[in-house]
Amino acid sequence: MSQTEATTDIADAQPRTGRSLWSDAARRIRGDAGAVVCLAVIAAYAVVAMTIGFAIPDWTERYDYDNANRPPSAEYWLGSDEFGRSVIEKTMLSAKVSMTVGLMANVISIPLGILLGAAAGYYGGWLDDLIVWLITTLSAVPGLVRVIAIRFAFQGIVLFARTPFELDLGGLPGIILALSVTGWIGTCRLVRAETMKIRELDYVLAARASGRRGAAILLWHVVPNVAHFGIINFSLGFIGAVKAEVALTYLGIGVVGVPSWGKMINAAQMDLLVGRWWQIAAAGGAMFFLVLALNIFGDRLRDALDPKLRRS
Amino acid sequence: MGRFILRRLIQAVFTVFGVMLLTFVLFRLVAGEPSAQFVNPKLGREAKVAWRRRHKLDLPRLLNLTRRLVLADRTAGPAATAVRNGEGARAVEALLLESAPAGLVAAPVQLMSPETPLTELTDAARWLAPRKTAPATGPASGPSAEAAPVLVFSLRDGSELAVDLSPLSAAGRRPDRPAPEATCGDLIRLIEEHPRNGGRLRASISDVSWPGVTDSQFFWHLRQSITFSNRSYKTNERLIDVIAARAKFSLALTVPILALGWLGAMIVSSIVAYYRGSWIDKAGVLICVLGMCVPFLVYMIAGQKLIFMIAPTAAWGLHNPANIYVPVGIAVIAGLGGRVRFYRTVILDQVNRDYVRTARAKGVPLPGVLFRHVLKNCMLPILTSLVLSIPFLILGALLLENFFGVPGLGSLLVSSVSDRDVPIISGLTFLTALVYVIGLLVTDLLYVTFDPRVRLR
Repeated sequence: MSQTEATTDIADAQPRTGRSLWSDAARRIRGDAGAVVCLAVIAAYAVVAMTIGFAIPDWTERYDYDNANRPPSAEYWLGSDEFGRSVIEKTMLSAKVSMTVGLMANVISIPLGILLGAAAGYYGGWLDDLIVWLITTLSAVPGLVRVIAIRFAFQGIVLFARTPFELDLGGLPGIILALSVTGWIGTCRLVRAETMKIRELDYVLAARASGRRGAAILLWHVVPNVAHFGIINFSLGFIGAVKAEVALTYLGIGVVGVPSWGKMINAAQMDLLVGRWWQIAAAGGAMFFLVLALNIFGDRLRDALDPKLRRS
Repeated sequence: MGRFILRRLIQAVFTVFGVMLLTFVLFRLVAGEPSAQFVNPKLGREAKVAWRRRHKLDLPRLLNLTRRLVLADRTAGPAATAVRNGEGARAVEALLLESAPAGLVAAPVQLMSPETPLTELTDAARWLAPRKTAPATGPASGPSAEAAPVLVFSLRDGSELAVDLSPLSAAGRRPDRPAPEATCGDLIRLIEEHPRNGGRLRASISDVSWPGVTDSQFFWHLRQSITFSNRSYKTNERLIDVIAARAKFSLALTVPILALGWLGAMIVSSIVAYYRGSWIDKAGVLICVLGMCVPFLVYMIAGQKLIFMIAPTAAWGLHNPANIYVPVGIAVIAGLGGRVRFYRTVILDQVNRDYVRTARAKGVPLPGVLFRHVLKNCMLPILTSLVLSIPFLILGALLLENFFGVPGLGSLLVSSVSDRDVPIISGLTFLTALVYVIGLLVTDLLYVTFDPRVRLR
């Protein structure tokens, strides 16, 4: 008890000069016009995904066969689909699926990757061997095949049936689970390598000498110093999840019952033959700008968070 | 160096084993059993049992620790040991008794002991046929003598032994079923201590034998994976035959994609790196990033539409063998952006090294430095990424093959997913993993051969 108090006293007594990694990165991002624009684009997608469900609550009941398959016009900016529904609204509704998949898959997989990677790198020994074996095994199966296999196996399984927490693994939760089961590997690999370097640094030794336990050092001293790898991998993981949704939909094991970009692109296989280009253009364009913004923002964020590039 | 390769080999073996474990867990434990889709329910229970037996779904999952009740015939004679039901009984079916050399065996039960309840041994719920209700108009006829679950054994010397199982029946309202508290030990004692037995029929529980332990779904899965002899649920073909028939189409697609993709990306990235910092470099990088952001499916659909407008017969199928170059071209263009960006980073990383400055200082012209000194040093990471992308081509080819009607392994995987053909999906997943692990080993060998730093470690 007294030992921990002493440690916090010492920590509090330290003068707080200089900037932290995070505040410095935030300052750099704010000063970078391209990164701010990209962040604004991503935020706009997120806002649309969150609010569009309230704006169009009756999507599945909308039919207007008089105006089916209209090309873009003043009334239908991006044309209409086979049920006469506005493609621009469909594209915005579809953002919900992609943004949910991208966000949730990362929210699960990145903390998992950071924790497993930090534990493997810090403790070493059999735990390290086990986690490295898990990484090599999972990464031996190519990405899409892995997602297909997991998604396929989870079909028709319903967890916690007939409770408020019902999880139908055949639907959206299954896609999120399949993507997050495979998504932690990249983060874990980076974090493990970085932790093995950090483990030998003086401040970890100091924490150990001041009597903190291994788990506490891992959580309070190691994880905060490797967490930025998770943030950097976030954009990559998001892009991967959005693209995987399209591929899974093409294979017929995507989401059911809600509009998605994958479905809109997939429908274009037939549509293009009769000259209807607006659905694939709308969905492809929406995906293109999201992935572009994520790509550029991810690059800028990596530059901002990489201490090697920092000016002293 | 030998130790390095040996360590990598051992790692590869563990990885391959891990993948087999993964496919086992996913496809045998987690995935539901699709027998309803492949066996017509109208064919009845026997067809389903035969189908499950053919695909080994009736075996224990991890270890076969089953034991069985063995009834050994100690008499000698020309006849074969047999068993039949007594009047109104169906105990033979209930206990699933089968004839075996020199005796009879009951159904296997996991971890069976004398304390195992008899209800676990029995398959059907009753060992007496349901009693026919007496017709209401015939009180005089009445029910005849109460039927009992009797097993009548015909032994090899021609003698017979009738064992009445009524002491093990549930008392009270349900005398036609085994009692929940009756155990296998009770059944063994009943037969052994039968007053008319006299050592002719010996009852016991069999032992777990060594190779029999591996007679389980897991070990069967391992054997099947290693030999690629998974049998398709749908066509009953062996996977290795399917691979032999289809691999050439996949290779015709992936090898040109790999070679042309590498060549194209090398040329473009060299040009971009040569003009580094100028507008050519910036425009090239911008185009690469934009190209990376277009979904692959859009490349495929738009590419097919374009080809359809130019030459309709080339847009689908393999009527003309040259059609294979349509998907190849699309894949090369779609993959160019990411490759060029990576190669450019690798080249620029080398350009700022000391040896480049030295070469420049002694008067080697810039193109000479770039193409003779720098590219040579870039080859190792680039070749590594190339080897590692081999199995990922199966991924790209997966969608491409299906989309352009190329009957390769990728389109097989896609159609197996929609058919729920589990053995094929499992086998193909393992195949891609095996190719990846072999690719990794090849990369290690390349490093050992070309990079002295690895050899010295």
